[in-house]
Amino acid sequence: MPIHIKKYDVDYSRRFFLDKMTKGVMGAGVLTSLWPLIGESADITKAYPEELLSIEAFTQGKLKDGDIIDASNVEIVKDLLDPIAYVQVSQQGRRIKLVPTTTDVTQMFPNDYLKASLSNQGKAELDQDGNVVVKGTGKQWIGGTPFNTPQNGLEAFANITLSWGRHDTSIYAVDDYDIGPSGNIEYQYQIAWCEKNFTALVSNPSGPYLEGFDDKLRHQSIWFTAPDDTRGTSFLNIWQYDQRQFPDLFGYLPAFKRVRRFPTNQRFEPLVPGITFFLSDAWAAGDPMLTWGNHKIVGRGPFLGCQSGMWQGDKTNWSKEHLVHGGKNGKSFYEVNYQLCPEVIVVEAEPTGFPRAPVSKKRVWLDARNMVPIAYVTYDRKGEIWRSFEMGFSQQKQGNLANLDTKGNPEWSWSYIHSHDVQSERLTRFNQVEQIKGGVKTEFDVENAYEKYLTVQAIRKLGS
Amino acid sequence: MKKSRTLTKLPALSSAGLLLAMPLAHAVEVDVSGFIRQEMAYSISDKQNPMNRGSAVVSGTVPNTTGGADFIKKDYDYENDWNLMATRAEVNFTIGISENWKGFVKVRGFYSSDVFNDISIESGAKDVNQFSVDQHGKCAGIFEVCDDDFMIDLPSAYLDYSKDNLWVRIGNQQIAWGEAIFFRVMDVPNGLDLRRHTFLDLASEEYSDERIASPAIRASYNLSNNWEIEAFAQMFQPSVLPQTGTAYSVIGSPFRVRNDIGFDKVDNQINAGIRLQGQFDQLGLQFMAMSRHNPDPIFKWAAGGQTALDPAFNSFGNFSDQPFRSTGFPGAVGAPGSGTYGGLDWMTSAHIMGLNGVEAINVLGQEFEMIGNFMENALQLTGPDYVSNVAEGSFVLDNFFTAIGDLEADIVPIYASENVFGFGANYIFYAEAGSLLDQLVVRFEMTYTPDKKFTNNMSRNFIEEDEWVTGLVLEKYTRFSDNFPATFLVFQWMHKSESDMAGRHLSNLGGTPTKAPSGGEASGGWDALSFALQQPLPGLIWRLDMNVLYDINGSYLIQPGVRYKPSKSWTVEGFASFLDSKDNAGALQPLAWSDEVSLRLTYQF
Repeated sequence: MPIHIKKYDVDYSRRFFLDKMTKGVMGAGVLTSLWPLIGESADITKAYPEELLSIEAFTQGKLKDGDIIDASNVEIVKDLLDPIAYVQVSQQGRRIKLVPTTTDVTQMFPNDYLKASLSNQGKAELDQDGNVVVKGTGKQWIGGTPFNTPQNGLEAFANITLSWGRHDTSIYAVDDYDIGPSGNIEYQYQIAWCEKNFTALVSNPSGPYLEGFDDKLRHQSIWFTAPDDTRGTSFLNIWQYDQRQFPDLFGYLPAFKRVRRFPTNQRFEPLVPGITFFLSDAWAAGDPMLTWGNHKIVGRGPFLGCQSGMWQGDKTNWSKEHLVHGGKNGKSFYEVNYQLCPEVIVVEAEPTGFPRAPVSKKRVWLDARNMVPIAYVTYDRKGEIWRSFEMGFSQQKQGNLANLDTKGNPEWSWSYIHSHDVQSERLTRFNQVEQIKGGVKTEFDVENAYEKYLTVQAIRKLGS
Repeated sequence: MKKSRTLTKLPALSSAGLLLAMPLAHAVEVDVSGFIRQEMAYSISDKQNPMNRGSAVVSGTVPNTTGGADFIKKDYDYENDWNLMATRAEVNFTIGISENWKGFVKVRGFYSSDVFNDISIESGAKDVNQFSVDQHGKCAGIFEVCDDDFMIDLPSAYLDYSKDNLWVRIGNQQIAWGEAIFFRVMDVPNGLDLRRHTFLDLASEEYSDERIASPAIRASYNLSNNWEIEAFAQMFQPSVLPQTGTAYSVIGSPFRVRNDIGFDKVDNQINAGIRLQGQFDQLGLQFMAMSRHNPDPIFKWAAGGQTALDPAFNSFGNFSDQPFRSTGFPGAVGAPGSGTYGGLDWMTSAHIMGLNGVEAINVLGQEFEMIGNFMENALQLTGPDYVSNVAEGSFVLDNFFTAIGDLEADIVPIYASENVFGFGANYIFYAEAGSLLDQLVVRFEMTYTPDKKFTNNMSRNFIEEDEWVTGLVLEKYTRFSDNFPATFLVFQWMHKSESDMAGRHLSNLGGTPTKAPSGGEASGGWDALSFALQQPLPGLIWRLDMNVLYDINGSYLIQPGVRYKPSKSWTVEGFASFLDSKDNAGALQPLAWSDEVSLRLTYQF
C-alpha cells in the first residue's frame, strides 16, 4: 500500500486561498505557479497538494473516485457545489459520479488553443476601454486564453468571452429536452449552433485574424431543425470586437418567410416555448463583456465540476439517454462525472448595460486549469437565486474511440448542459450529439461555415 | 423519436422536374415532419356575407324606378353559424443530398367541411365551391389537386444549391421581400391565395399560408460582407380571391370570374426581380426592381354569350356580345332568381365592391354596342356619359331588369404588366439603456409603380396612374416587468397614393345605395395604421396577442388572440376578429360583416 506523505494538512489549501484573496494575489497554483508548470510538462500535479488533487484526500476518505454523490452524502461536499446543484442532489434525486482529477491539461483543451494559450501568455492587456489587446501594440487579441492568471474580474470574463468554444469555428448539433414542473419532458428541440471567430484565431494558417473582418469578433448563429413548428427559426448574431457594442441580431421566422433585423437587448428571454436557455447564457458569457459591469473576483478554492469522460462515442449519436435519471419522473438529469477541480476562480458581474434585465447578478466558477465555466448561476432582481447553467466539458475520447481533429488530436468541447430555472421548476438538458435532423453535424474548424451558416443569406436559406 | 432514414436512391420527385443533373454520389437523407390541425371559425356577428345570394345585401321587394311593378328578389335570409370548419395536414420532407445540394418539399392538404352553404334556388342549401379555380386545370397552382371542398398542393418543392457566396433555390417556392409586416410594400413577388381563411388567420403569422408559390429560380450572391445581390425569375401565378358564394367571398354571387380567359393570357409569363441589400453598422439598405404581371387582378366585363336573347334585341345589336345573361333564359349559368335584380341591388352591391355603379353603366354603353344602342334608342340617352347619378342609372337598369328579369354577368381578371421600383432602410436607434427609445427599430419602405393599372368600373380601358406606396414601421421589445418576458410592440403606417389595401382605386370608393362615389377619396391617398402587441408569459407557453388595423377611411380589424403550447406536440390557438367599416370607403368593408371567433388545434409530429 503506497504511503502518502502529507506535507500539508487538510486545511492548508483553505488557508492558502483565503490568504491569496486577502492579499489580492491572483496567480494560480498553490505549491508553485500553475502556468509555467503547464508550459513545461502539461502536468499540474506539482502545483497543488494532494488534498486538492484527490477527492478521497480532500474528504479524508469519506468519498473516493467512483463513488456516487447523492442525497445521502452530498453534505460532505456541499461547499464544493453551486447552490442549485446542491438542491438538485439533496432534494431532487440527482446523482453525480466522482472521477479522478485531470492532471494532464492537454486533455482539457483543443490542441491548437492550448498551444496558443502557452505561446501568447503574458502578451494580453486591457486597453483603456476594457477591450483585450496585445500588450504595447493596441492590436486585437492573437489567440488562446488571454489572461491565464487573471488579475481581476474583467480579465477573467475576457477569458471566456473572446473565444467561446476554443476553436476558430465550432458547429454544435444539440438534442434539447425541456422538463417541466411535472418532471416530464414537455418540449424537445433539435438545435444547431455555429460560431466562428474572426480574431484570436488559433488554427488559421495565415494568422490570428481573418482578412475583411477587421472590427468583428465573431458571427454566431442558432437555428432549429425540429420540431415542425420551429424548424427554420434562425438567429444570427454579429459581434463587434469592441465589447461595449451590442451584437447585431438578424432573425428568420418561418411565419415571416424573410430575414428581419431585431433589437438585440432582449437577451434574457427563452427563444422558444419551454426552454430555459437564453442568448445571455452562452458559455456564461453570452453578452459582450463590457455590456456587463462590476466584474470582480469574489473567491478562490477547490470545487466540483465536469471536466472529463462525458463523450459517449460508443453510443448511437453520442446519446446520453442511458444516464438520465432524477427529478419527479426520472427524466431530469444526466448522471455526469464530477472531479475535484483544485482551484476555481469565482467571479461575479452585473448587467449594467441591461437595466431592464430580470437578472441582477451572475456568479461563475472558472477552473484555473483551463478557464472554462464549470458552474454558473444567476440571481433575480430581488437577489434570489434564479437559474443555473451547468456546462460539462470533455475530451472527445472514450477508450479506443475518439473524434479527432485534422492533426490527429482528440477534439475537446462541452458535452452537456443542465440549465435549471429553480423558480419555475423548469430544466433544460442539452446533449451535444453527432448529428441532428436537417443533416447538421457537430464539427470543428470546417471550411465554408461562414457562407453556410453565418450570413443573412445563410439563415434565409436555412429557413423554409 | 428519430425519423431520419437513409435512402439509396433519390425520391421520385421527377414530376417537379427538379432533380436533373444532381450529383448522386451521396446517400440521400430524408427527415419527415409535419402537423395536423383542426381550424374553425364561428360567426359572432348578426350579419351575413352580403355578396352571397342567400344573404344578399338587397332582397325582398326592390323598387322599380320605371313605374312598373317592383322587383321581387326572394329573401332567403340564409344564415351560417360557421364560417370555417377545416382540417389541415402538412407534411414536410427535408432532403439532404450532398454538401451543396439540399431539397425541401411541403405537402399541404386542406379539407373544408360542409358547414358553410349558400342558397340553392332549386333545392335550398347548396355546397359551395371553395377551391376549384380555372387556372392550372381546374385548380389554382401548378402543383395542386383540388375539388370543391379540398385542395392538396406543394407550397414548397425546391432544391437549394449553395457554394461559397452563391445560393440558388430552384423549384416551387414563396418569395417574400421587405420588412413591413402585413402591409405589403416591398413584398411584391408573390400574390395571395385567399381561398382558405382569407387574411383572417392569425395576423401575427402574416401571409405565410396565403403567399402563393410558383416555380422559380432564385439566386443570391454575397458581393462582400456588406452587400448581397439577389435575383429571381418566377412563373407567373395570380392571386386567388375567395370563390363567389363561399364564406368570405368579396365578389357578388351573380358575377362569374372568367379565370379561364384572363389567366390564359398570362399563363406562361415570367415575373422577374432583382434586389440589392446592404448593411452598414446600424443602417440596413435595400433596393429592388421588379418586372411583373401584377398577380392581383383588375377586372373588365366579358361577353356573356347568351344567344337566346339575340333575336329579341337584334334591333340594338347582339345581346350575346354584352356581359349580361338573364337567369330566366337558356344559356344562363345560375338558376332563375340568382342574379342582380333592380337598380338598388346593382348600386348597393357595386358600391360595396368598390365600383362606381353609375360609371359602370356608362362603360357598358361605351364598350358594348347593344347596350349603347339600347340606351340611345330605347331610352333616348346620349353617350358617352349616358347617366350621371344613381337615379338616372337606376332608371336605365330598371328598364333592363323589367325587360328580362334578374341578371348575371361575366367579368375577366386581367393581370397587367408593370414595373415596380423600391427602396427600403432600417435603423436601430440607441438611447439611454432601458429607455423607451433604446434599441427602437425603425424601418421604412417605399415602392414606385409607374403607369399602374386599376379596375375602372369594369372598362377595358383601365385607370392608369403612377402609384407610390410607403410604409413606416416602429418596433420595440421592452420589459415592463421582471416577471414577464419582453413585450413586442410594433406600430406601422402605410400610405398608398392611388388605391386601398386591396388595390381598389380610391376614386371608386365611398358610394352608397343612393349616391355614386365622388372620387374625392383619391385626393389624399389611402392611409392605414396598425398596432400589434405580443406578450409571452413566462416560459413562452402562453402568449397573448393583440393586432389592430385601422384604415383612416373608417374601417378596422381588431384581433385579440391567445396561444397555448402545453407540450411539444400540441398547440391551441384562439383568436377573435372584429371588423367594421363606417361606409363603403373603408378598405375592410367587403368583410366588415365577418366578426368571428377562431380556434386552431394542432398536433405536430
